[in-house]
Amino acid sequence: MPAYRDMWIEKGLKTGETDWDTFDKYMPICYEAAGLVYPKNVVRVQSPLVGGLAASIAQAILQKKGDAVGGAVDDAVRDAVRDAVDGAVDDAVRDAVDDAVRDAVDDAVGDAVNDAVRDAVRDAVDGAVDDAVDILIKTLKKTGQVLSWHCWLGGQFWVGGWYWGVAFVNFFFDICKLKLSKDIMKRALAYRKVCESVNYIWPNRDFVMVCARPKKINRDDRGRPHSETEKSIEYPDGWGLYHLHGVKLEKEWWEKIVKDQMSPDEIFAIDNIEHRRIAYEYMDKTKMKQLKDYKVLDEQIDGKGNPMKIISFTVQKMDEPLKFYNCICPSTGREYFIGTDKNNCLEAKNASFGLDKVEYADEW
Amino acid sequence: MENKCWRHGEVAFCEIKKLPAKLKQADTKTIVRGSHGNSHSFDNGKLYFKKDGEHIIGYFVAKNTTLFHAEHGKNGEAKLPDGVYEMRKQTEHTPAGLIPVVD
Repeated sequence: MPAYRDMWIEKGLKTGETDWDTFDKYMPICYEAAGLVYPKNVVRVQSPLVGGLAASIAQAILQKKGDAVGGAVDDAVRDAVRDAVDGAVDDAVRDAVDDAVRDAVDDAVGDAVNDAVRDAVRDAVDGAVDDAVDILIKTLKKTGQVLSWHCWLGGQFWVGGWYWGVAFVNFFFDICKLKLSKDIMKRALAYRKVCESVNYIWPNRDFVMVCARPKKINRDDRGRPHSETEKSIEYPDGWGLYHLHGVKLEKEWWEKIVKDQMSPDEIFAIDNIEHRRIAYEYMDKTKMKQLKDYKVLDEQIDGKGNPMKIISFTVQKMDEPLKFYNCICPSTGREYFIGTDKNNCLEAKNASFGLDKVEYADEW
Repeated sequence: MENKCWRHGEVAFCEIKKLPAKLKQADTKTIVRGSHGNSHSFDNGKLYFKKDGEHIIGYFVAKNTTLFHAEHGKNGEAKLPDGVYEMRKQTEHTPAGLIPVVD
Protein backbone atom coordinates (compact mmCIF):
# COMPACT_ATOMS: atom_id res chain seq x y z
CA MET A 1 0.00 0.00 0.00
CA PRO A 2 2.76 2.57 0.79
CA ALA A 3 4.30 2.06 -2.66
CA TYR A 4 0.94 2.57 -4.33
CA ARG A 5 0.30 5.65 -2.19
CA ASP A 6 3.70 7.11 -3.07
CA MET A 7 3.12 6.49 -6.76
CA TRP A 8 -0.04 8.63 -6.64
CA ILE A 9 1.58 11.34 -4.55
CA GLU A 10 4.24 11.56 -7.23
CA LYS A 11 1.59 11.83 -9.93
CA GLY A 12 -0.23 14.54 -7.97
CA LEU A 13 2.90 16.62 -7.58
CA LYS A 14 4.35 16.01 -11.03
CA THR A 15 5.92 19.05 -12.68
CA GLY A 16 7.33 19.74 -16.13
CA GLU A 17 5.91 18.63 -19.46
CA THR A 18 2.13 18.40 -19.72
CA ASP A 19 0.77 15.29 -21.40
CA TRP A 20 -1.56 17.11 -23.79
CA ASP A 21 -1.93 14.09 -26.10
CA THR A 22 -3.33 11.88 -23.34
CA PHE A 23 -5.69 14.65 -22.29
CA ASP A 24 -6.89 15.15 -25.87
CA LYS A 25 -7.49 11.41 -26.19
CA TYR A 26 -9.40 10.83 -22.95
CA MET A 27 -11.28 14.07 -22.25
CA PRO A 28 -13.69 13.46 -25.16
CA ILE A 29 -14.46 10.05 -23.63
CA CYS A 30 -15.47 11.80 -20.39
CA TYR A 31 -17.84 14.06 -22.33
CA GLU A 32 -19.24 11.10 -24.24
CA ALA A 33 -19.83 9.22 -20.97
CA ALA A 34 -21.72 12.25 -19.69
CA GLY A 35 -23.83 12.32 -22.85
CA LEU A 36 -22.35 15.61 -24.04
CA VAL A 37 -20.88 16.67 -27.35
CA TYR A 38 -17.18 17.45 -27.04
CA PRO A 39 -16.60 21.14 -27.81
CA LYS A 40 -14.46 22.20 -30.73
CA ASN A 41 -12.67 24.79 -28.64
CA VAL A 42 -10.06 23.29 -26.41
CA VAL A 43 -8.00 26.10 -24.95
CA ARG A 44 -4.69 25.44 -23.29
CA VAL A 45 -3.64 27.93 -20.62
CA GLN A 46 -0.36 28.21 -18.79
CA SER A 47 -1.55 28.94 -15.26
CA PRO A 48 -4.67 28.38 -13.14
CA LEU A 49 -5.01 32.12 -12.66
CA VAL A 50 -5.45 32.66 -16.38
CA GLY A 51 -7.72 29.61 -16.64
CA GLY A 52 -9.85 30.59 -13.66
CA LEU A 53 -10.38 34.08 -14.95
CA ALA A 54 -10.75 33.25 -18.61
CA ALA A 55 -13.06 30.25 -18.20
CA SER A 56 -15.45 32.08 -15.92
CA ILE A 57 -15.49 35.18 -18.11
CA ALA A 58 -16.00 33.11 -21.25
CA GLN A 59 -18.83 31.25 -19.59
CA ALA A 60 -20.46 34.50 -18.49
CA ILE A 61 -20.28 35.83 -22.02
CA LEU A 62 -21.58 32.63 -23.58
CA GLN A 63 -24.49 32.44 -21.19
CA LYS A 64 -25.69 35.77 -22.45
CA LYS A 65 -25.00 34.84 -26.07
CA GLY A 66 -25.05 38.48 -26.99
CA ASP A 67 -22.32 40.62 -28.41
CA ALA A 68 -23.55 43.73 -26.62
CA VAL A 69 -23.48 42.18 -23.18
CA GLY A 70 -20.37 40.25 -24.01
CA GLY A 71 -18.72 43.45 -25.14
CA ALA A 72 -19.69 45.24 -21.96
CA VAL A 73 -18.35 42.42 -19.82
CA ASP A 74 -15.29 42.17 -21.98
CA ASP A 75 -14.51 45.87 -21.52
CA ALA A 76 -14.99 45.79 -17.76
CA VAL A 77 -12.96 42.64 -17.37
CA ARG A 78 -10.18 43.71 -19.65
CA ASP A 79 -9.58 46.78 -17.52
CA ALA A 80 -9.64 44.76 -14.33
CA VAL A 81 -7.23 42.06 -15.36
CA ARG A 82 -4.86 43.89 -17.67
CA ASP A 83 -2.34 44.71 -14.96
CA ALA A 84 -2.44 41.25 -13.45
CA VAL A 85 -2.16 38.93 -16.39
CA ASP A 86 -1.69 41.07 -19.50
CA GLY A 87 -3.23 39.56 -22.60
CA ALA A 88 -3.29 35.94 -21.52
CA VAL A 89 -6.85 36.03 -20.20
CA ASP A 90 -8.11 37.98 -23.17
CA ASP A 91 -6.56 35.54 -25.59
CA ALA A 92 -7.94 32.52 -23.77
CA VAL A 93 -11.41 34.04 -23.54
CA ARG A 94 -11.33 34.91 -27.21
CA ASP A 95 -10.24 31.39 -28.16
CA ALA A 96 -13.01 29.86 -26.07
CA VAL A 97 -15.77 32.28 -26.90
CA ASP A 98 -15.32 33.58 -30.42
CA ASP A 99 -15.56 30.28 -32.24
CA ALA A 100 -18.36 29.03 -30.03
CA VAL A 101 -20.43 32.15 -30.53
CA ARG A 102 -19.75 32.05 -34.21
CA ASP A 103 -20.67 28.40 -34.55
CA ALA A 104 -23.87 28.65 -32.53
CA VAL A 105 -22.82 29.44 -29.36
CA ASP A 106 -11.54 6.30 2.81
CA ASP A 107 -9.60 5.34 2.25
CA ALA A 108 -6.12 4.84 3.27
CA VAL A 109 -4.64 5.46 -0.12
CA GLY A 110 -7.02 8.24 -0.95
CA ASP A 111 -6.48 10.03 2.34
CA ALA A 112 -2.74 9.84 2.25
CA VAL A 113 -2.52 11.13 -1.30
CA ASN A 114 -5.11 13.74 -0.56
CA ASP A 115 -3.17 15.07 2.42
CA ALA A 116 0.04 15.30 0.49
CA VAL A 117 -1.33 16.87 -2.64
CA ARG A 118 -4.50 18.70 -1.73
CA ASP A 119 -3.72 20.20 1.64
CA ALA A 120 -0.20 21.23 0.86
CA VAL A 121 -0.42 22.49 -2.68
CA ARG A 122 -3.89 22.57 -4.16
CA ASP A 123 -5.39 24.68 -1.39
CA ALA A 124 -2.62 27.20 -1.85
CA VAL A 125 -3.35 27.56 -5.55
CA ASP A 126 -7.10 27.61 -4.95
CA GLY A 127 -6.74 30.44 -2.49
CA ALA A 128 -4.68 32.54 -4.83
CA VAL A 129 -7.07 32.14 -7.74
CA ASP A 130 -9.96 32.79 -5.39
CA ASP A 131 -8.41 36.11 -4.32
CA ALA A 132 -7.86 37.23 -7.90
CA VAL A 133 -11.32 36.25 -9.02
CA ASP A 134 -12.79 38.05 -6.03
CA ILE A 135 -11.54 41.34 -7.46
CA LEU A 136 -13.14 40.49 -10.78
CA ILE A 137 -16.44 39.55 -9.20
CA LYS A 138 -16.72 43.04 -7.74
CA THR A 139 -16.09 44.50 -11.17
CA LEU A 140 -18.54 42.20 -12.88
CA LYS A 141 -21.31 42.88 -10.40
CA LYS A 142 -21.65 46.25 -12.03
CA THR A 143 -22.65 44.52 -15.24
CA GLY A 144 -24.89 41.98 -13.55
CA GLN A 145 -22.62 39.06 -14.44
CA VAL A 146 -21.75 36.13 -12.22
CA LEU A 147 -18.42 34.33 -12.37
CA SER A 148 -18.24 30.62 -11.78
CA TRP A 149 -14.54 29.86 -11.74
CA HIS A 150 -15.15 27.01 -9.32
CA CYS A 151 -16.69 24.97 -12.13
CA TRP A 152 -13.43 23.12 -12.53
CA LEU A 153 -11.76 19.78 -12.10
CA GLY A 154 -8.42 19.63 -10.30
CA GLY A 155 -6.69 17.18 -12.67
CA GLN A 156 -3.45 16.01 -11.05
CA PHE A 157 -4.30 17.92 -7.83
CA TRP A 158 -7.47 15.88 -7.41
CA VAL A 159 -5.97 12.41 -7.59
CA GLY A 160 -6.21 12.20 -3.81
CA GLY A 161 -9.69 12.63 -2.55
CA TRP A 162 -13.00 14.35 -3.07
CA TYR A 163 -15.74 12.83 -5.10
CA TRP A 164 -14.23 10.11 -7.21
CA GLY A 165 -10.79 9.90 -5.54
CA VAL A 166 -8.73 8.52 -8.42
CA ALA A 167 -6.04 6.95 -6.23
CA PHE A 168 -8.63 5.37 -3.95
CA VAL A 169 -10.76 3.97 -6.77
CA ASN A 170 -7.83 2.67 -8.77
CA PHE A 171 -6.36 0.91 -5.74
CA PHE A 172 -9.24 -1.54 -6.03
CA PHE A 173 -8.74 -1.94 -9.77
CA ASP A 174 -4.93 -2.14 -9.79
CA ILE A 175 -4.14 -3.93 -6.55
CA CYS A 176 -7.33 -5.75 -5.59
CA LYS A 177 -8.08 -6.63 -9.24
CA LEU A 178 -11.68 -5.50 -8.95
CA LYS A 179 -13.56 -5.80 -12.24
CA LEU A 180 -16.73 -3.84 -12.84
CA SER A 181 -18.80 -3.48 -16.01
CA LYS A 182 -17.02 -2.56 -19.21
CA ASP A 183 -18.74 0.82 -19.27
CA ILE A 184 -17.70 1.69 -15.71
CA MET A 185 -14.12 0.57 -16.33
CA LYS A 186 -14.00 2.73 -19.46
CA ARG A 187 -15.25 5.78 -17.54
CA ALA A 188 -12.83 5.20 -14.67
CA LEU A 189 -9.90 4.84 -17.05
CA ALA A 190 -10.81 8.01 -18.95
CA TYR A 191 -11.02 10.11 -15.80
CA ARG A 192 -7.81 8.59 -14.44
CA LYS A 193 -5.93 9.42 -17.64
CA VAL A 194 -7.25 12.97 -17.65
CA CYS A 195 -6.16 13.50 -14.05
CA GLU A 196 -2.76 11.99 -14.72
CA SER A 197 -2.10 14.19 -17.71
CA VAL A 198 -2.89 17.81 -16.85
CA ASN A 199 -3.49 20.33 -14.07
CA TYR A 200 -6.83 22.17 -13.68
CA ILE A 201 -9.64 21.72 -16.22
CA TRP A 202 -12.68 23.94 -16.84
CA PRO A 203 -15.09 21.73 -18.80
CA ASN A 204 -17.89 23.71 -20.39
CA ARG A 205 -20.62 22.99 -22.93
CA ASP A 206 -18.99 25.31 -25.47
CA PHE A 207 -15.30 25.01 -24.63
CA VAL A 208 -12.78 23.15 -22.53
CA MET A 209 -10.04 25.13 -20.89
CA VAL A 210 -7.12 23.17 -19.52
CA CYS A 211 -4.07 24.21 -17.57
CA ALA A 212 -0.48 23.06 -18.00
CA ARG A 213 1.35 21.37 -15.17
CA PRO A 214 3.35 23.54 -12.77
CA LYS A 215 6.92 24.11 -13.89
CA LYS A 216 8.12 23.53 -10.35
CA ILE A 217 6.83 22.80 -6.87
CA ASN A 218 9.16 23.42 -3.93
CA ARG A 219 8.29 21.97 -0.54
CA ASP A 220 9.88 21.70 2.90
CA ASP A 221 10.62 18.46 4.73
CA ARG A 222 7.00 18.31 5.93
CA GLY A 223 5.63 18.60 2.41
CA ARG A 224 4.43 22.19 2.72
CA PRO A 225 4.98 24.70 -0.08
CA HIS A 226 8.24 26.44 0.75
CA SER A 227 11.22 28.15 -0.78
CA GLU A 228 13.63 30.78 0.46
CA THR A 229 15.11 31.39 -2.97
CA GLU A 230 12.25 31.34 -5.49
CA LYS A 231 8.51 30.77 -5.92
CA SER A 232 7.23 27.70 -4.09
CA ILE A 233 4.92 26.91 -7.03
CA GLU A 234 5.52 28.23 -10.51
CA TYR A 235 3.55 27.71 -13.70
CA PRO A 236 4.92 27.95 -17.27
CA ASP A 237 3.72 31.53 -17.77
CA GLY A 238 5.65 32.64 -14.70
CA TRP A 239 2.66 33.01 -12.41
CA GLY A 240 3.18 31.41 -9.04
CA LEU A 241 3.14 31.72 -5.30
CA TYR A 242 5.60 32.43 -2.53
CA HIS A 243 5.50 30.38 0.66
CA LEU A 244 7.62 29.92 3.76
CA HIS A 245 6.84 26.60 5.46
CA GLY A 246 3.28 26.60 4.12
CA VAL A 247 2.56 30.25 4.89
CA LYS A 248 1.65 32.15 1.72
CA LEU A 249 3.15 35.60 1.37
CA GLU A 250 3.14 38.39 -1.16
CA LYS A 251 6.45 38.51 -3.04
CA GLU A 252 7.46 41.83 -1.47
CA TRP A 253 6.99 40.49 2.05
CA TRP A 254 8.52 37.13 1.27
CA GLU A 255 11.63 38.87 -0.03
CA LYS A 256 11.94 41.19 2.96
CA ILE A 257 11.49 38.27 5.38
CA VAL A 258 14.02 35.89 3.82
CA LYS A 259 16.54 38.74 3.53
CA ASP A 260 15.77 39.81 7.12
CA GLN A 261 15.05 43.35 5.96
CA MET A 262 12.14 43.99 8.32
CA SER A 263 12.50 45.99 11.51
CA PRO A 264 10.92 44.56 14.67
CA ASP A 265 8.35 47.41 14.67
CA GLU A 266 7.27 46.41 11.18
CA ILE A 267 7.02 42.77 12.20
CA PHE A 268 4.90 43.48 15.27
CA ALA A 269 2.59 45.64 13.14
CA ILE A 270 1.69 42.65 10.90
CA ASP A 271 -1.96 41.81 11.50
CA ASN A 272 -1.87 38.12 10.52
CA ILE A 273 -0.22 36.24 13.41
CA GLU A 274 1.16 33.50 11.13
CA HIS A 275 2.85 36.16 8.98
CA ARG A 276 4.05 37.87 12.15
CA ARG A 277 5.37 34.58 13.49
CA ILE A 278 7.23 33.60 10.33
CA ALA A 279 8.71 37.10 9.98
CA TYR A 280 9.90 36.99 13.60
CA GLU A 281 11.31 33.51 13.05
CA TYR A 282 13.52 34.78 10.23
CA MET A 283 14.49 37.98 12.08
CA ASP A 284 17.88 38.33 13.73
CA LYS A 285 16.74 38.39 17.39
CA THR A 286 19.39 40.95 18.38
CA LYS A 287 17.20 43.45 16.51
CA MET A 288 14.74 43.35 19.43
CA LYS A 289 17.11 45.78 21.16
CA GLN A 290 16.18 48.33 18.49
CA LEU A 291 12.66 48.57 19.95
CA LYS A 292 12.25 51.77 21.95
CA ASP A 293 11.68 51.23 25.69
CA TYR A 294 11.72 47.44 25.19
CA LYS A 295 10.84 45.70 28.46
CA VAL A 296 9.87 42.24 29.66
CA LEU A 297 6.98 42.85 32.07
CA ASP A 298 6.31 39.27 33.15
CA GLU A 299 7.71 35.77 32.68
CA GLN A 300 5.99 32.51 33.59
CA ILE A 301 5.94 28.84 32.61
CA ASP A 302 2.68 27.57 31.12
CA GLY A 303 0.90 24.28 31.88
CA LYS A 304 2.87 22.51 29.16
CA GLY A 305 6.24 23.65 30.54
CA ASN A 306 6.80 26.33 27.90
CA PRO A 307 7.95 29.87 28.72
CA MET A 308 5.52 32.77 28.43
CA LYS A 309 6.39 36.47 28.48
CA ILE A 310 4.76 39.86 28.30
CA ILE A 311 6.91 42.31 26.37
CA SER A 312 6.30 46.00 25.83
CA PHE A 313 7.85 48.70 23.68
CA THR A 314 7.00 52.12 22.37
CA VAL A 315 6.41 53.03 18.76
CA GLN A 316 6.47 56.45 17.16
CA LYS A 317 3.33 58.59 17.29
CA MET A 318 1.73 56.46 20.02
CA ASP A 319 1.39 57.53 23.63
CA GLU A 320 0.84 54.10 25.15
CA PRO A 321 3.43 51.32 24.81
CA LEU A 322 2.41 48.25 22.83
CA LYS A 323 2.28 44.99 24.75
CA PHE A 324 2.50 41.45 23.43
CA TYR A 325 1.86 38.12 25.09
CA ASN A 326 4.68 35.85 23.90
CA CYS A 327 3.85 32.12 23.98
CA ILE A 328 4.86 28.78 22.51
CA CYS A 329 2.45 26.51 20.64
CA PRO A 330 2.40 23.19 22.58
CA SER A 331 2.04 21.15 19.36
CA THR A 332 4.55 22.79 17.02
CA GLY A 333 6.88 24.60 19.42
CA ARG A 334 6.41 27.76 17.35
CA GLU A 335 6.71 31.13 19.02
CA TYR A 336 3.79 33.58 18.76
CA PHE A 337 3.21 37.18 19.83
CA ILE A 338 -0.38 38.16 20.55
CA GLY A 339 -1.38 41.76 21.30
CA THR A 340 -2.61 42.35 24.85
CA ASP A 341 -3.37 45.09 27.36
CA LYS A 342 -2.40 42.94 30.35
CA ASN A 343 0.84 42.90 32.35
CA ASN A 344 0.57 39.28 33.48
CA CYS A 345 1.03 36.25 31.21
CA LEU A 346 -1.89 34.17 32.51
CA GLU A 347 -4.24 37.14 32.58
CA ALA A 348 -3.24 37.93 29.00
CA LYS A 349 -3.83 34.36 27.88
CA ASN A 350 -7.22 34.11 29.58
CA ALA A 351 -8.30 37.57 28.39
CA SER A 352 -7.50 36.59 24.82
CA PHE A 353 -10.42 34.15 25.12
CA GLY A 354 -12.57 36.70 26.98
CA LEU A 355 -12.21 34.91 30.33
CA ASP A 356 -10.86 35.81 33.78
CA LYS A 357 -10.03 32.42 35.27
CA VAL A 358 -9.40 29.28 33.27
CA GLU A 359 -8.30 25.75 33.99
CA TYR A 360 -6.72 24.52 30.76
CA ALA A 361 -7.50 20.80 30.91
CA ASP A 362 -5.43 20.21 27.80
CA GLU A 363 -3.91 22.27 25.02
CA TRP A 364 -2.91 21.33 21.51
CA MET B 1 -15.71 31.17 38.58
CA GLU B 2 -13.04 29.09 36.90
CA ASN B 3 -13.79 27.86 33.40
CA LYS B 4 -12.53 24.45 32.30
CA CYS B 5 -11.30 24.67 28.74
CA TRP B 6 -9.56 22.56 26.10
CA ARG B 7 -7.52 24.78 23.79
CA HIS B 8 -7.14 23.83 20.13
CA GLY B 9 -4.88 26.58 18.81
CA GLU B 10 -6.86 29.80 18.68
CA VAL B 11 -10.13 28.01 19.52
CA ALA B 12 -11.02 27.09 23.14
CA PHE B 13 -13.73 24.57 24.01
CA CYS B 14 -15.05 25.60 27.42
CA GLU B 15 -17.38 23.32 29.37
CA ILE B 16 -20.94 24.50 29.95
CA LYS B 17 -23.88 22.74 31.59
CA LYS B 18 -26.29 22.85 28.68
CA LEU B 19 -26.75 24.31 25.22
CA PRO B 20 -28.56 27.64 24.82
CA ALA B 21 -32.05 27.36 23.34
CA LYS B 22 -32.94 27.64 19.64
CA LEU B 23 -29.65 26.55 18.13
CA LYS B 24 -29.49 25.11 14.64
CA GLN B 25 -27.01 22.33 13.99
CA ALA B 26 -24.46 23.28 11.33
CA ASP B 27 -24.15 21.15 8.22
CA THR B 28 -20.36 21.24 8.12
CA LYS B 29 -17.37 19.63 9.77
CA THR B 30 -15.32 22.82 9.59
CA ILE B 31 -15.30 24.91 12.74
CA VAL B 32 -12.90 27.65 11.71
CA ARG B 33 -11.08 28.08 8.43
CA GLY B 34 -7.51 29.42 8.63
CA SER B 35 -5.95 31.73 6.10
CA HIS B 36 -3.36 29.18 5.01
CA GLY B 37 -5.55 26.25 4.11
CA ASN B 38 -5.45 24.74 7.61
CA SER B 39 -8.90 24.42 9.15
CA HIS B 40 -10.13 23.35 12.57
CA SER B 41 -12.47 20.47 11.80
CA PHE B 42 -13.89 17.45 13.63
CA ASP B 43 -15.27 13.97 13.38
CA ASN B 44 -18.20 12.92 15.59
CA GLY B 45 -20.09 15.59 17.47
CA LYS B 46 -22.63 18.32 16.87
CA LEU B 47 -21.63 21.84 15.86
CA TYR B 48 -23.76 24.96 16.33
CA PHE B 49 -22.70 28.40 15.13
CA LYS B 50 -23.97 31.35 17.12
CA LYS B 51 -21.91 34.44 17.80
CA ASP B 52 -22.18 36.01 21.21
CA GLY B 53 -19.96 38.98 22.01
CA GLU B 54 -16.33 39.24 20.94
CA HIS B 55 -15.28 35.67 21.69
CA ILE B 56 -18.05 33.07 21.52
CA ILE B 57 -18.41 31.71 18.00
CA GLY B 58 -20.77 28.83 18.77
CA TYR B 59 -21.39 25.65 20.70
CA PHE B 60 -20.35 22.02 20.43
CA VAL B 61 -21.60 18.72 21.77
CA ALA B 62 -18.76 16.21 21.81
CA LYS B 63 -19.29 12.47 21.73
CA ASN B 64 -16.28 10.39 20.78
CA THR B 65 -15.01 13.55 19.08
CA THR B 66 -11.69 13.96 17.32
CA LEU B 67 -10.55 17.46 16.43
CA PHE B 68 -8.35 17.96 13.39
CA HIS B 69 -5.87 20.64 12.43
CA ALA B 70 -2.57 20.09 10.65
CA GLU B 71 -0.66 22.09 13.28
CA HIS B 72 -2.40 21.12 16.51
CA GLY B 73 -2.34 17.78 18.30
CA LYS B 74 -0.48 14.54 17.71
CA ASN B 75 -0.35 13.96 13.96
CA GLY B 76 -2.95 16.72 13.61
CA GLU B 77 -5.51 14.95 15.83
CA ALA B 78 -6.81 15.67 19.33
CA LYS B 79 -9.48 13.86 21.36
CA LEU B 80 -12.03 16.18 22.95
CA PRO B 81 -13.79 14.56 25.96
CA ASP B 82 -17.53 14.00 25.69
CA GLY B 83 -19.44 17.03 26.91
CA VAL B 84 -21.16 20.30 26.06
CA TYR B 85 -18.97 23.26 25.20
CA GLU B 86 -19.07 26.85 24.13
CA MET B 87 -16.42 27.61 21.52
CA ARG B 88 -14.32 30.70 22.04
CA LYS B 89 -12.11 32.25 19.39
CA GLN B 90 -8.94 33.94 20.56
CA THR B 91 -8.66 37.68 20.07
CA GLU B 92 -5.83 40.10 20.40
CA HIS B 93 -5.75 43.60 21.76
CA THR B 94 -4.68 46.27 19.29
CA PRO B 95 -4.67 50.07 19.46
CA ALA B 96 -7.79 49.87 17.26
CA GLY B 97 -9.57 47.50 19.66
CA LEU B 98 -10.04 43.74 19.94
CA ILE B 99 -9.59 41.75 16.75
CA PRO B 100 -9.87 37.99 16.18
CA VAL B 101 -6.55 36.21 15.94
CA VAL B 102 -5.95 35.59 12.25
CA ASP B 103 -3.68 32.69 11.42
